[in-house]
Amino acid sequence: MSSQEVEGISVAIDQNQYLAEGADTVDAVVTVQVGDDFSVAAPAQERLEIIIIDCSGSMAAGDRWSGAREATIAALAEMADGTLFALVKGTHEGEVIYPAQGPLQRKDVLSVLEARQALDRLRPYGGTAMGSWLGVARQVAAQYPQAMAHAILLTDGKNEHEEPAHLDEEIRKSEGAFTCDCRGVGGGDMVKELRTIASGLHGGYDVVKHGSGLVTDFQAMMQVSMGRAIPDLTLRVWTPAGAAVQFVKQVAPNIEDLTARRVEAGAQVGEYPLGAWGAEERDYHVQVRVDPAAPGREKLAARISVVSGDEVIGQGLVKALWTTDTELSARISRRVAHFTGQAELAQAVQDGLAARKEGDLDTATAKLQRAVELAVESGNEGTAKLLRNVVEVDDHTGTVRLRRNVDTFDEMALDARSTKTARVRKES
Amino acid sequence: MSTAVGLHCPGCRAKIGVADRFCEECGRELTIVRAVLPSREVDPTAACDACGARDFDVDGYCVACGELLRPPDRDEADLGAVQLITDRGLVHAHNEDAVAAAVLDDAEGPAIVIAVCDGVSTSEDPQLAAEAGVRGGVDACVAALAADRPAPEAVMAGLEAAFDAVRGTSQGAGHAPSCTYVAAVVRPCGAQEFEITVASVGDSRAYWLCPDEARGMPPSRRLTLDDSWAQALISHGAMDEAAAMQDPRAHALVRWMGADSEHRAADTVVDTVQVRGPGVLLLCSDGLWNYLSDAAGLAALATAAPAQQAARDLVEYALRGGGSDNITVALAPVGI
Repeated sequence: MSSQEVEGISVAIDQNQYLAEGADTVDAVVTVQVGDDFSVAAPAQERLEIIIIDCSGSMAAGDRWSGAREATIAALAEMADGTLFALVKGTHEGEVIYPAQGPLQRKDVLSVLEARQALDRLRPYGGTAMGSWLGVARQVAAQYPQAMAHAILLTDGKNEHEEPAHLDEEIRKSEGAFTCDCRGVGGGDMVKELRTIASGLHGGYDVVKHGSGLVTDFQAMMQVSMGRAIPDLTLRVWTPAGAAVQFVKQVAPNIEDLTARRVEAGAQVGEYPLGAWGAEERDYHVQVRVDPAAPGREKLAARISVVSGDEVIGQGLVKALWTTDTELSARISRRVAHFTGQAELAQAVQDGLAARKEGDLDTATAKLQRAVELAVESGNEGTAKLLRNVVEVDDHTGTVRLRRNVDTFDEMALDARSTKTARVRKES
Repeated sequence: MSTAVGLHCPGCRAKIGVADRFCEECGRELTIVRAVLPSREVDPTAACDACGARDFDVDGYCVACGELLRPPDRDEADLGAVQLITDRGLVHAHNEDAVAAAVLDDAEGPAIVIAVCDGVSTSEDPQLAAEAGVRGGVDACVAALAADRPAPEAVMAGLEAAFDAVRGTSQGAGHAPSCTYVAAVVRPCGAQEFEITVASVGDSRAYWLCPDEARGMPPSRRLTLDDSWAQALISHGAMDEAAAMQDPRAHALVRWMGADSEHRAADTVVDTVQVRGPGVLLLCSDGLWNYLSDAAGLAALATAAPAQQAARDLVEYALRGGGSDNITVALAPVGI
């Protein structure tokens, strides 16, 4: 069932409602779509953009530094006039280099010029402690607590000058203060940190091989940020007494497990923050365990609402009907099956890459073989292509072999992008 | 034959609007009664079968344990001039039929509008289609009559609105709730005569039924032809009725309402018949006529007792026969 209570936003539920006698697990794919009209009608938001640039010594290698500089300038150009902004330099601590002192400036010709001058004075030298960069960004965002604050964090390498616990703490404190998209440049091993930060701060992450690739990437990130009109949507899930939400995962456009983000909001109700939205569509896989009812009876397994501020702007019902008709209960919703497969694919890639790092080549081969199969079946061409940089695929038998020499960048790119999912293929 | 077009005050014959509560000329209170079954109202005294709680949300689910309040197996409405009954039957888990009717005050005597829809079980959420069809159809038909359109145009307006309403229940590709549709308008046209206008899409039916004594005119007969595989063969002379109805494909629909149907309202035959009572107009879903389809047999039950009892007797007949489908009956006595 889906609802269109509010113009421009829709919540659609895709599931097989039928359960076999005694079965207790209900799966549904919830599609939340925000249209242009809703986005446009949302009240105008104050925007605040922070660009955090890794200034550690390693950034001097190749074209990383020049790429970072060009990309920052390009991002500034994409910002709407009047946007509040700051540039932060990141080494073993974070420092606001523009504005060097005083309150935040709004983007205009003069402030961009001053920011470029500050950028030109920078030289890469020092260590890396990303948590402290987040702490500084938080202080910046605190100047305008009502604004939609967004940060782009660029780094080229491992977080050597900080305990992981400290980074986790800073991420936890920053959640809700600003969203953060992360980019890694070069071949360094940094996917884990990028993923941790982006996941905790409702953003995306990716890796770019050379500095020259950063310009279009930064432009795209800034455009998406400018397009976000709704600062905060929440998924509210009601379940009946005795039922439990097993998981809530975002499955499209990329996989993100939201289960641990649940905030209790009253008896039988939990809320999951979804971050900032523009005109876009995201899919969620929800699994609920319910006490079975007798065959022929129907239960509401979950009532899913999308909430903006205090208002419920869309709602969908996840139902459960018990039946003795095995043909009905054996069906699996195509979308549920597809996204379950995509989650399995992402896990197989992660497990395979981890096994390869540890030297367990048999497990690595088996896992990546499974990943190749799933990628092909589900039409996830992006991941299929990245896999071929790490394994050789025999087109006749379908068997895979680990490549002997794998560019660490290709391995990182596969790791980072394995969570991007393909949407369900349209049946012909 | 002169059929008054538009509605007129039963007291002073002045023109009235369908939404008028009182006649502007003579002040007489006007009535228009409507009903749609199955009724979606949650009985405030109902307790949840599973956990005993008495609080249900707007969709009928218990707010404690989530179980759906089971709607009653039967729903009835007595509008005076027409009796409506819809029953789940004995085999189907849910009632996917719907029926709606309206009785409008008019100078010549009440005008009656009825529609019955039978949800196609193999489509998604058929009960959505059936409800949308009867509501859309009756509302548009009533509005057309009040706007001075003659009955055949009003019936066509109802058809078009019903096609649109059923199509509109679709929530996207692959979701096409579908149903049949049979509708009728009954209007008095002077001197004990009445005009019945009917149209049908699918295999729900309308019958004109007279008691044995044959004072009524014309004799008992079916008023609609099914849009079914069996009827298509019978109409083409390829098979006789007995043989056609035996075939497993007999009930396959060749026309229906739904987002996946290419059928159009304009292609539907709208028939008008002049009748003289006493007799009854019967609209029903196949859950009834599968057990009793010949007009004479139906007439024996439908005219043997006062309308409400007769309607119940028809439904009971189908239940005793097996009740393998949802059973819906709309019965309007004419000239009695």
